[in-house]
Amino acid sequence: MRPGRKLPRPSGRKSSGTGLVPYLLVGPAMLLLLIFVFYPLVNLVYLSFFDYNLIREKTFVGLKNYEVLFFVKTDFLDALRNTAVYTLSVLFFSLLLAVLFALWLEPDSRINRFLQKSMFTPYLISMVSCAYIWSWMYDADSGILNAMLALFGLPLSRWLNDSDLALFCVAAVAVWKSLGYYLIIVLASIRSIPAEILEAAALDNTPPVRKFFRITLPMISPQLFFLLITITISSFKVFDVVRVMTDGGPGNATDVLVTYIYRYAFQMNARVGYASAAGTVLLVILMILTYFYFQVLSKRVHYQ
Amino acid sequence: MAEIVLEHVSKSFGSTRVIEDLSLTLRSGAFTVLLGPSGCGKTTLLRMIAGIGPATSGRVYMDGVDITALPPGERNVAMVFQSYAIYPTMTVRGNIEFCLKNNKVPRAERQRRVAQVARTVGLEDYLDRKPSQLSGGQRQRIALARALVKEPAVFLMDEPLSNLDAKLRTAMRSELIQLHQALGATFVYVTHDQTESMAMADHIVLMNEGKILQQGDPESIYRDPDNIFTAQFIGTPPANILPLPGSNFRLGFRPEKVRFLASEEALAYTRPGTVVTREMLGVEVLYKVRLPEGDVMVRSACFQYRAGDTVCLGVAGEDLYFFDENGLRIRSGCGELIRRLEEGTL
Repeated sequence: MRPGRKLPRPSGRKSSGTGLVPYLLVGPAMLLLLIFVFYPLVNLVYLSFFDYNLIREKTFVGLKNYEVLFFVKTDFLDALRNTAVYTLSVLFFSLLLAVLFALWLEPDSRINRFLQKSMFTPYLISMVSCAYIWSWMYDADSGILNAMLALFGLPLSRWLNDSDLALFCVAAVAVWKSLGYYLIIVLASIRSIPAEILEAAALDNTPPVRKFFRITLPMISPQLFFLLITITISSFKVFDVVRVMTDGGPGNATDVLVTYIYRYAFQMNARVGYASAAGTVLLVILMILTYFYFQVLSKRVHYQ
Repeated sequence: MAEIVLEHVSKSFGSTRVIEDLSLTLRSGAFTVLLGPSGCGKTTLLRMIAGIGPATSGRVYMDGVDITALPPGERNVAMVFQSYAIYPTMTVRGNIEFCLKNNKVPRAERQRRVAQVARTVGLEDYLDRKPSQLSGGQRQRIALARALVKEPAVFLMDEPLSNLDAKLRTAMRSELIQLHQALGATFVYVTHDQTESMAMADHIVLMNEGKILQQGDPESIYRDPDNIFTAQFIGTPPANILPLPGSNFRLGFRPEKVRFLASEEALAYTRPGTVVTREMLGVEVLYKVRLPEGDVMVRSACFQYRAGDTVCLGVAGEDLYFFDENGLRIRSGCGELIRRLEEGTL
């Protein structure tokens, strides 16, 4: 380039002078976001400060809804605890089983490909169907699970009617349904580990367990981290499986945050303001979780 | 130091036979280069010695002990991979001492050996870094350090320099030669680069399509090729191969053995030709000359010829190779062939 000559502008950046074009281009998307995401979010938080039942005038009550939520009633804290227990169980068993099955199905063979596809099938079925099928299997009198226990002469269980067991029964269905999907992600990431690295480990005389914890696990950690976030978030928002199988019962044993919100907003005299406060709490929890994961955990995860 | 013997080894991948009934002895303490075009089975052979790609049939011995069924970690070998195969999640130190930890080497000795190896390859300042923060050349050194720290009897290297830029490659080449001299261990080095093999090897094993075509020290491989493949694979530019009219035999000679002749001169093989291209190399010039039988390359210190010039080329009888119809060198009766060439009856 000779001195004194102007550099040509990068292509596609004509000097229109206004600078309005980019905003026009992102406008439609922004408008949709505003209407369907930001407005409901803001409205949710706004409603949580009111006493409102969809018919009467809204009356401002300040933080009273939150006070009732945390200090007057105990059912919200129960729902919160149930949600946490549910999330931890789903998270733990989903990741554990996905990794174990992936290690098992890792060698490529016809039977393994068949098993992998079979395990994916539940993911294709609607959650409501799954929940119904499992309710029948869990049935204390005519379900297959008790029939099998009886066959081996084992003591029968009341499954969904047992308040100590019901939450875990529901969690098991959620794990069963999505395991095939998690398995595919973990399997793909295990298979993407370069063969030479495993060969180098073999030459380094690495025992199998140590090879798993020092090489395989760190190398698939980005995918596990991704699953950790998505499973946590989806478990905190669980609704359909609980609604179909137990509807929060027996007692409040399987009541989770979303069924709680649903019950107060649409079943018990439409206490929309109160339900909004619960929704706001859920929103804040999810925001904190997401932030926490990205900030703290991402530093410990290896990205290639 | 250890001697490696491969006895009648074969290797198939599915129905493809890569190596069929090959036997080879790798001298203890020597720098042996397995050389050949890609797909010739040289890496397969190396992986057999390492134990990570066991032979389909045949036996592998190390110092007379059968190691065919021994797992890779229990063989006294270390390997440097083409892709380096560094553990990306560990620090440089973690990479180097991983094997020592697996073999339960005491902490103090581990630290001493890691420090010593890091000094040898020049990584002292990077021990606590992650490999992703280092350059290609430095990663190559990690791979080398990881092999060195094991203090193995045999070093296996699979094209370790092919991912480096030309300048670094030349530097690492001489470092590896020095390392071999200092350690005295057996080195087995795989490459497709004949210059690299000539520069580093004590012993070259030239392979093609799963077979050994010729082995020997670099000089004998260069001066005395057993077949057309060897003559054309070794040397830049490769040996010229021309048909001998009136016979099934072929004739070969190295580009630097060709002389430009004055009109009245004659050598065993004398031919008129036209210069097609001229490449100036500095100390020499590389000419491509068109002869009646085909094009030949000529390496010469005569700078005066230009493209389009008519020249007369000659090669002395002792610099000519003769090959039979299968491409194999004719070793006896060459005097007769040369005489007939001089008479012009061939």
